[in-house]
Amino acid sequence: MRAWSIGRAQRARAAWVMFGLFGVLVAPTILSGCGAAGGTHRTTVAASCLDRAPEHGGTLVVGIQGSSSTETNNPFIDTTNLSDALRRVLLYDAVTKLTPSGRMVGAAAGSWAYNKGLTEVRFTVRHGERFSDGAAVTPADVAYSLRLYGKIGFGTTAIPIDWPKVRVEGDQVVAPLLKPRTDVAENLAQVSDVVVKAGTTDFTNAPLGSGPFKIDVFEPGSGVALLVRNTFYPQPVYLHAIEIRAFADPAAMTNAFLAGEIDVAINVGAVNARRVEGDKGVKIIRERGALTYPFIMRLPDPPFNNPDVRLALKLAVDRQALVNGALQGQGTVGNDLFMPSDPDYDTSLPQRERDLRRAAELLERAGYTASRPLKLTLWSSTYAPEMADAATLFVAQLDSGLPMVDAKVELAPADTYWSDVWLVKPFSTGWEQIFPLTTAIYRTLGYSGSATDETGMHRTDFDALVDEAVRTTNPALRKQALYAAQRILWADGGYIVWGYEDEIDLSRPDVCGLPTAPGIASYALSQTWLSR
Amino acid sequence: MRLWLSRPIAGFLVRRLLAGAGLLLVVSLLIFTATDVLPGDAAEVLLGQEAATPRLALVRQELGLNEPAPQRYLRWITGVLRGDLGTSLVSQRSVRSIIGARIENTLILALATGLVVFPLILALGILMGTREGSRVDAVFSAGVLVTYAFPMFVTAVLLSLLFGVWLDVLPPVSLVPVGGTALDSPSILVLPVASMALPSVAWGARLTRAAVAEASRAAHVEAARLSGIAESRVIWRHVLPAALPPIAQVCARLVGVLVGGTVIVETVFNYPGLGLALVQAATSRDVPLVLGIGLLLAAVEIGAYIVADLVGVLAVPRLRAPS
Repeated sequence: MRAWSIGRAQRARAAWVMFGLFGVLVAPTILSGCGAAGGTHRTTVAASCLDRAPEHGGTLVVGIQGSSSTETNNPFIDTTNLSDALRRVLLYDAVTKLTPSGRMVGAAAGSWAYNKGLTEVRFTVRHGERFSDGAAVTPADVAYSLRLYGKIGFGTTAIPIDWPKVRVEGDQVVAPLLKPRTDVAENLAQVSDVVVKAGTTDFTNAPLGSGPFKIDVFEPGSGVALLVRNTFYPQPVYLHAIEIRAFADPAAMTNAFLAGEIDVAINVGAVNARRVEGDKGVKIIRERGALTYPFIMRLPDPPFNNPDVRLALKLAVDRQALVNGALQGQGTVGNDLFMPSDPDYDTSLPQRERDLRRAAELLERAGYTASRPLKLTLWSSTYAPEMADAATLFVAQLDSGLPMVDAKVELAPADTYWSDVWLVKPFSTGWEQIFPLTTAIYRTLGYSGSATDETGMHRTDFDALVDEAVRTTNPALRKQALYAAQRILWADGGYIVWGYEDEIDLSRPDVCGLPTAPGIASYALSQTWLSR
Repeated sequence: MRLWLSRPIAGFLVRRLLAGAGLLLVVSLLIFTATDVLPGDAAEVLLGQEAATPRLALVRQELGLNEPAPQRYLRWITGVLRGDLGTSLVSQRSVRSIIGARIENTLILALATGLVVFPLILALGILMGTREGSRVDAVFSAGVLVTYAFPMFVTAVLLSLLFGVWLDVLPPVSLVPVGGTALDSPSILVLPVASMALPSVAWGARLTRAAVAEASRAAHVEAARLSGIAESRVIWRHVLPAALPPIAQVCARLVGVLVGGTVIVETVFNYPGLGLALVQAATSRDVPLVLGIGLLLAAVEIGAYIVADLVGVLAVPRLRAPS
């Protein structure tokens, strides 16, 4: 008998083998589906937050993008890991902080005042602030923390404090200023200047904080943290606990949200947001103007030293098409200015519209024709996918709309983009997150002498207007000066700000009090509560 | 007992272990060099836009990145010999603690998948290999080929969407309970295990089939059949021992995949294992973490191959004598 011929007995054996295989594959599925473990559930109750007083208790499960293997216990380090930033905001108070609506308020500092010459700012430490072990927060703690932040934190160059010389005088912390500014407190609310106990040097374990929550369970690298309410926090906190889950992939985070594994998914991205559009069981929180990806023209470099070329390119862009394409429609059209949610954003300027005829006239005046085109290389990166998409779409718009332009895209590695391309190549794609307007100007948006001045504009009148704005405590004079500065940027600057990306968070309907402001303010969950 | 202590076996083991140690050293050097020649470093990744400022030089100095590469490698390797895998450049935590936080999850996933994969590979391989050319062989081979053709990420995403989101019968992501392990909520392992098992079984079953088929054609097996021995006894006593060495090699390869090749499954299901940690470390140019995890995974794979070679030597007596 040949080995492969099958008789009745062998067919029966084959059938049993196949049945066994089927059972091995399917049985765990069936058994697990029947079991209570796994916790798959969806809420179908549409709870309302309106006209209800906040309720105490409950555990909120929050998903956020994060590379869990790079999690750190050191709150001063900005690893660009969003889960670290979320824990930092919940565990620690800083000198000043942002509320869920994006307003800046005092935290460890109850009040502050600048001296007459704007050479120092004095923070009066708030009474009643306590660490999670009950110890009072003292001026020595605040001063030590500021000096430590100045030494190891990121973003220190944007704030003109002479960090090593921060000192204590009575119940005040005195911070000498390197430059006369009246917006130092606003800047401190945006960065990782958390307050820890004086003398803290070991970050093997997370240092105690004075924020609304404290750590119950956290193992760095595990991607999960359980924070419970800090009973010594002086302001009301409604949730009993927050469970934070870090997700490497926003699609996986969205799947977890749709299956009811998490209550809130922070910053899911445009593609995942479209998956839930129209779903009545999902609350979509849209925070406008969270990010922008401007095209940067460096003015010292030809051809961008010609204002006609700069204006022509600003007129050539189809802004709505870029929002629809690069941002999947999840954003708003830009007007070549930054920080649209800033109270000093110039709303008086007309919206720049696409005008190919005028753009062509300007380029011809600059000496470019179809036979002698303007050759452009637009550098971009996959640091954020929107950067590469926007650059590709814009170049296609130029090639199809202006015969006297010959443009191409060059993609550089994300790892070296900020050192090899940004501030180096004449025409590149940028990445700007939300910041106070003046901070952004001093940092990147055109102030001469900044180490990271993106466009190299070098306009003394612009610099003078910005300096004037930050020296005054009169809001009207400040606005007037900043409006004038923005008009220069709009008319003559090197930016094509085509749009602003929304930050989109997903939430169950019974989660109330969620932040509505973009950026770091979207992590301020201390006023969030669960409606039962 | 005498077999295990026989000089050929002991000598074989010692030679393999020494070679394995040497191979680990070479692997560590290769990983270090490969990561070092990539554009950018951890300081640039950490600083982002601030890498364009003078702060870059300061951070490089703090992280020891301005030392020559040979010096950095020597410092690391001497630390490893003392049991110190170094400190992560990005998170400033010890590499041992980062690996420690994830290795248990990786082992649980690997063992759970192994419990499914290895018996299935053996069963399917024997089923197809002993019926080479038959309709059963054709049907199962086609099924295995179709399964193997699906990229793992497609399988993982489809399973997650189908069972986790649309049907809602299983968790679409593997959220390990707070303070616990995956074993505290076994249902979170089902979809990741299925995603890894399907292509692994397909790949392993094909190779096992080939080994069994070749062993089945051996003269001594034919002689056993002709002498009237029952087919099942022929398979267990004559076919399998001959096929065992290549099957052991297949299993050794799969051990490496199950422990270190899980980045896709870990990403789709958000499972906190070593595979994704390695990719994230490489993306961040976190050389000590890349080296630590890479060395561990290489050690596991080398160990698996040593065991496979030992199984081969035990199964085939003529291999016991040194050549």
